[in-house]
Amino acid sequence: MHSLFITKAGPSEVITLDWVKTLLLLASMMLVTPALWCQSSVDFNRDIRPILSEHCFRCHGPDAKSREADLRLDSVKAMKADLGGYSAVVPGNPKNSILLARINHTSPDERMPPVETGKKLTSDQINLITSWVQQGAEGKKHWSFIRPVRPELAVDPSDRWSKNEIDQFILAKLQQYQKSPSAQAAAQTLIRRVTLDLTGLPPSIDEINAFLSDTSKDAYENVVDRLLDSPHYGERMAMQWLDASRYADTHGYSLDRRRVMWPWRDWVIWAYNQNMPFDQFMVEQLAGDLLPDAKKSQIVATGFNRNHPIQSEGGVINEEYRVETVVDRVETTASVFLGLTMGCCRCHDHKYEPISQTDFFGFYAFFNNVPESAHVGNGDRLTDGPVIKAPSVLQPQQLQGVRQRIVELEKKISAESRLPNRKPVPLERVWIDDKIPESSTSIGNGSGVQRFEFVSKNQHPVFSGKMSSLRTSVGLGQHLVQNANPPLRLNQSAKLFCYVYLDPKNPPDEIMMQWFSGGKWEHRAYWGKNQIDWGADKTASRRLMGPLPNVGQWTRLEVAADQIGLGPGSEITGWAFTQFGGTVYWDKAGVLDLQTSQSQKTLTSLNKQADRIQAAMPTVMVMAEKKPPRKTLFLDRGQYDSPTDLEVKPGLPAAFGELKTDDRANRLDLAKWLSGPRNPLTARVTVNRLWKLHFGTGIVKTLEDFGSQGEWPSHPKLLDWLACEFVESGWDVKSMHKKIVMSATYQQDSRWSGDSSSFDPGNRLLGRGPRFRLEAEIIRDQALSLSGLLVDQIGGPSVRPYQPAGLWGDVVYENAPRFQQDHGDSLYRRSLYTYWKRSVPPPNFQAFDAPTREACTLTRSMTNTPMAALVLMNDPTFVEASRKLAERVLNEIDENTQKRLNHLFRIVTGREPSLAESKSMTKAYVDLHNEFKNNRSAALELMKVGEAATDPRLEVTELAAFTSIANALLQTDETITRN
Amino acid sequence: MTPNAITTADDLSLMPTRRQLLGKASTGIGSIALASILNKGAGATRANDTTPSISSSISPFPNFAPKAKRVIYLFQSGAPSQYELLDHKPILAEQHGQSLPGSFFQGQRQTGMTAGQKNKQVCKSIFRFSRNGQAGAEISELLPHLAKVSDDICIVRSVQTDAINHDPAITFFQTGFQQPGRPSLGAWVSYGLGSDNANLPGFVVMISQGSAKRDSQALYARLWGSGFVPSAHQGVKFRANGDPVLYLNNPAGISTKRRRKILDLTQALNQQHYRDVGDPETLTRIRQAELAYRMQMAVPGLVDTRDEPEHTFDLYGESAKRPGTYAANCLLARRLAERGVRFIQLYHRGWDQHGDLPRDLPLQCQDVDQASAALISDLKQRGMLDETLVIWGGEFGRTVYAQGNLNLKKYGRDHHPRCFSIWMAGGGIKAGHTHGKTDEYGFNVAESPVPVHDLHATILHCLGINHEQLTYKFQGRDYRLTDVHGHVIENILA
Repeated sequence: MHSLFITKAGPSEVITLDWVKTLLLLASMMLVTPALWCQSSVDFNRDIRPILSEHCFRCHGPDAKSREADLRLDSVKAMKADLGGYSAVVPGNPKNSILLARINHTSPDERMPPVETGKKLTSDQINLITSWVQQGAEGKKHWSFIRPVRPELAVDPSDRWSKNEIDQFILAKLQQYQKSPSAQAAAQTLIRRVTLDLTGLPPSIDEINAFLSDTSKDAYENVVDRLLDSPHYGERMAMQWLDASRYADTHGYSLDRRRVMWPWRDWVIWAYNQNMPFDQFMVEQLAGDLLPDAKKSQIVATGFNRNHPIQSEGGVINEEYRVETVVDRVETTASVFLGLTMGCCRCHDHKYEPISQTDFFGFYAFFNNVPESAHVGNGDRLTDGPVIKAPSVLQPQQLQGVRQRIVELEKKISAESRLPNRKPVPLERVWIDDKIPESSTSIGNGSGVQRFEFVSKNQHPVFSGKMSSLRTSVGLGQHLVQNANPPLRLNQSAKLFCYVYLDPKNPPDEIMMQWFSGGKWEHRAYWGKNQIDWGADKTASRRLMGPLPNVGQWTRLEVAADQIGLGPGSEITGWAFTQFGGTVYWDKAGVLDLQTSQSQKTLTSLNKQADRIQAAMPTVMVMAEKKPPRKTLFLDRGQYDSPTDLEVKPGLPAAFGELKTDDRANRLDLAKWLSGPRNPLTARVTVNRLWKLHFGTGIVKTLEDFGSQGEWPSHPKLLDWLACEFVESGWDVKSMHKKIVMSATYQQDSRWSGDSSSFDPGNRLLGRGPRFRLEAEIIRDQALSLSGLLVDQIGGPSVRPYQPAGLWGDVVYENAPRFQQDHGDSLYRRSLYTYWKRSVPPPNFQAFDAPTREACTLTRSMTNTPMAALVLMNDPTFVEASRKLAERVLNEIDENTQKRLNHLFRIVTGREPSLAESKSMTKAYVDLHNEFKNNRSAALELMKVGEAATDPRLEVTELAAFTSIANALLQTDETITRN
Repeated sequence: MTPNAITTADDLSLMPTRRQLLGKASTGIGSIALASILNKGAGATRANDTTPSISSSISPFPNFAPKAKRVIYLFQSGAPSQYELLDHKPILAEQHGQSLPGSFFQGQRQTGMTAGQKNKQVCKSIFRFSRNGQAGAEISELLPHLAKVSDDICIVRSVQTDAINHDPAITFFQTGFQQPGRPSLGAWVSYGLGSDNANLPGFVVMISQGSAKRDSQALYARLWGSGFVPSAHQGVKFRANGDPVLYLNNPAGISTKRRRKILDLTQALNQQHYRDVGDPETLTRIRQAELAYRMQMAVPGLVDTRDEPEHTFDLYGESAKRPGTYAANCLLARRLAERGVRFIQLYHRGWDQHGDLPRDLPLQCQDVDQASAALISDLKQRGMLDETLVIWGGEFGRTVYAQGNLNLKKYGRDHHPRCFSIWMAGGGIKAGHTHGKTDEYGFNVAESPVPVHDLHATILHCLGINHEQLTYKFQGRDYRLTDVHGHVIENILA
């Protein structure tokens, strides 16, 4: 059956061949299958329960209310029970087992499952059930409800591949299929893989080079240790946790206004970076407030169960949403820590698991005692219910980070100030030199030639380039440029400059420069006698700068923009060179951006930031217990308005036994049980999630469901081994990550081999290295990092980088706030700090499967759509990153285009391009460069995407062409995939 | 592949699902979906395409011959008043101003806005009704254009919902569940049937702002979200401002020609990478990038309605020339329908008249009446109405009593979930028919109730889908749009 899907994508002749193979395979399977069933023993949990669960439990399962014919098939004991002269299952006797009679019945009306359920058993499944009955119908509890025991390692003496225990399990399974593992991945692939996995950022070229040249035995391990120590490790791990805990920056329902929960996010990052043991991580988040002498940080941690949406709609009944909130806590807690879908038993006993509706309300009672109103109202209320005012746990680190930047900047400023003759050249933006600005026009008027006249250096003094401009006038004369587009934009503390040469034989009485800005020629500076009667003395419209410069030499004229009334942000579209009499040469005019003042400006803002961090004492929602405790009443059908008289005390589902407490059990008792030895699930569920991060799929594929409807583990023994190892290590998360990434399994090459697509396309046996697309946040962070834009400050309030205009306005309530984009550093922070509005989640993340965060999400889908392709092509984030990446390449490598392209490729992918790849890039580059040379204004337009300034020293058509190539590289499959 | 590879049940998970082979999760489960989202040879011209051919036999949907190929859902967000528009209650004029006794409400929950209002006075409609068309449909004077096409529509007066507040109610209407987390109606349909157009998404969403601005309730991404079905099925917003589809337009300085050159490089590198690594996902990536490029080509022409003849604008109204209006969106809906988009979801905001109904309801009706009717006529004259299901309505109804003091110049009505009116037309729906009755006060359904789940079951039925069979397994359970409910309303089927 299954082999029908084995048709490999490929040219038609291959398909034909595969079809032949498939047919052969089908034939051979038909031959070998029965024999196989006979020789292998059937395992109830692995083989039978999933079939019964899928097809039968709905009507013959744990839910007593919907149970038909009083028959339950979720319990082997019940199956064997005497039902009045007959039993569903008679061990060793398929013929007398009614279950088999009914599933094999020839009449469609009698045959189970009934037609209307849409379920049908295959003959293989019927054979399996038959064999199981034949073999004695042994039953076990569902596997995940049995506590894990550390399995024996299957040591193969001939095994030279394994690096640690993980590999022995993987290898054993592969060998069952006569398969062998893949070779180790290339070093540059491996370092990119592990760096992205552990920090969510790509490795730098230096890091790659260091690893490539390190021949020591511990080279890889050293990289892993370095990454686990990186503060970005905590950020990367927190990313997953934000989905799990439905973190957002807004309340979610109705008005969906803002809230403050980022200090909880800081706590998560901090806890991961501390390598807080997972049991403690869990206990603090579920019940930190109930710990003896709870620290503030432990109370902040309980924000985990306050990240749920909160209502704000005027007409709602608070109790309805309070109940929803408690249910949300149950569902989230059960999914995240137990891998159980407990929400199913809110309205009825679970159809598939041994969890009753009463069990549900027992669990519910733990979370039903928070003094909250479950409503934040129409206004700008940031919190509801219990809160704590506390500094972020990351405050000292943030402060240290900012202070370190202050120290560095101060050093730089002081070094700059000690270099009086430091070369100003790199900071100049030249506007007029041998040619006039983009799309401007020029004229000359008054006395002298009636045009803007360039003269060449053969006959005339020239300061820069090949030409200068010349005017000889009697009285007032000038030449000027106007209507420049783009305009010359002034930064903070800009100085306008120009070089001038006064003819010793015919010096002028006065020289003047005038600038056109804001629709007026009212910005003037002059030297010499005050003869030109424009503007008003001692104002920006006629500012005396000093005496005439010496004749017969080039002199640099400089005018601080604010002296002539041009503040930062002013745009100049015209520049006039005016003189009263004489012969004057003008050359190289432009603006000087003073790096010192830019640094000074940054310094000021950093100092302010440090003050802000120090003063910050945010208020954040946390858990607390109401006294006296709220009674939990069994709600009929789970409806808020149908309470019954039945009071339910906090407690565990009966299948897990009883909580032993002196008093009424509370969240702390629950949390301790979760981290205790009697809980079969949490360690498995947790290592499975860590595993998924590195392999793309869990050992149990259904991360959120370890119940009978969940998927059977691909490597059950490995899962149990890891779970035991994890607990015995003291729930050491970093060690577990290290164990996984140090395995040979993890380090394999991810190339598909000849039969990958037919044998194991999902790579569940791990016969090759894991290969999957990066998550939305990492795709963006990678682009920021490669381009050098990333501001890698850890923690703090959320930021609002670019998003298309009007998205909030389309949907929000009339008087609710609209999106306001941030500027500066906030545009370039890591994506986990991006402001998350639940009704309008970040659209570029959504295109890459980010959830809305309205409910706990453990598995994002991993789609491949045109919408995602459009983001990579056109989102200003990626276009700007392409430009900065291009600048980086042009600045790092001199002249040689080929070298530059190869360098670009290596930055992005971490490896050298092949010859063919190089050729493709060169061809595209030449083509695109010609395009931009023929259309320089298009190149200039492209430079304007994004708010980061363009490096003025770079030639714009070249930069535009490299930007385009970078854009192409940032969207390749390889770039957005970890190979 | 060794013949004994498959030995135990746990190996089932090793087998590729169709979706894995054909580009993970980007596809619907219908054959059309597979063929079209993967683009019938989309990348074929450039990328040595190896799209596997799909036999139609593996597709479960449609289950039976569909009446409608597509849906245009004209959602009126905020809940238009049935008393002033589609459900004429003459007794209200007689009893206008009478206080309703508490017993009248039969325990019906009321919103927090009027639960505490002691004097609840019957309020008549200040707008007149007339009988229209051969079928004599009763329609308010606020909807004169709709009245003219009344023989083409089916008014359903007996819709019921479980929710009484906007957020849960609209979430229920659009996802079948009051709480967030479920796939939207359009996502279910996209998942089940896929798209009929290789260059356009299968599920498109457009939003317009009502003229009664202050009464605009919020909308949420979840309303067109994919919930737990693959996110490729979430609605794609078409917008009047900025890029018509998010991130569609090339940045300044990148012309179509340059974009093509850039993309050619990306694709050449992708091809080389595929040859090196061999993961079919790379091929899917190549196809999706080509589809993105083709959308860049196709969408601007689609949303630019200047090629429409003047009589189109005579039909839809002048405001159809202004991008982003409800009328413009209706016209776009027709253009999307022509191009085979499966589910077209409009939202018009501003219908929450708790007060100032006499001023604001006519404004809202002016926004939508002509264009909604025009859409019906337009589809009909193009022969498309039979295959297009059109639905018009809000998330609940409004109360028989006035909110606050009764004042005919400024009255308004609170939320009422027990019965309200919508209309449907086209693909599979009985034309010139009024379904269901409410009691004389319009408080309860008197005949033929239509709960939201039944409406959903009926919509899916028109598309040829058995609502009980359109399932998605999540957290161990087979989820349905209709949960464990839903009956097809046979009496409104043509």
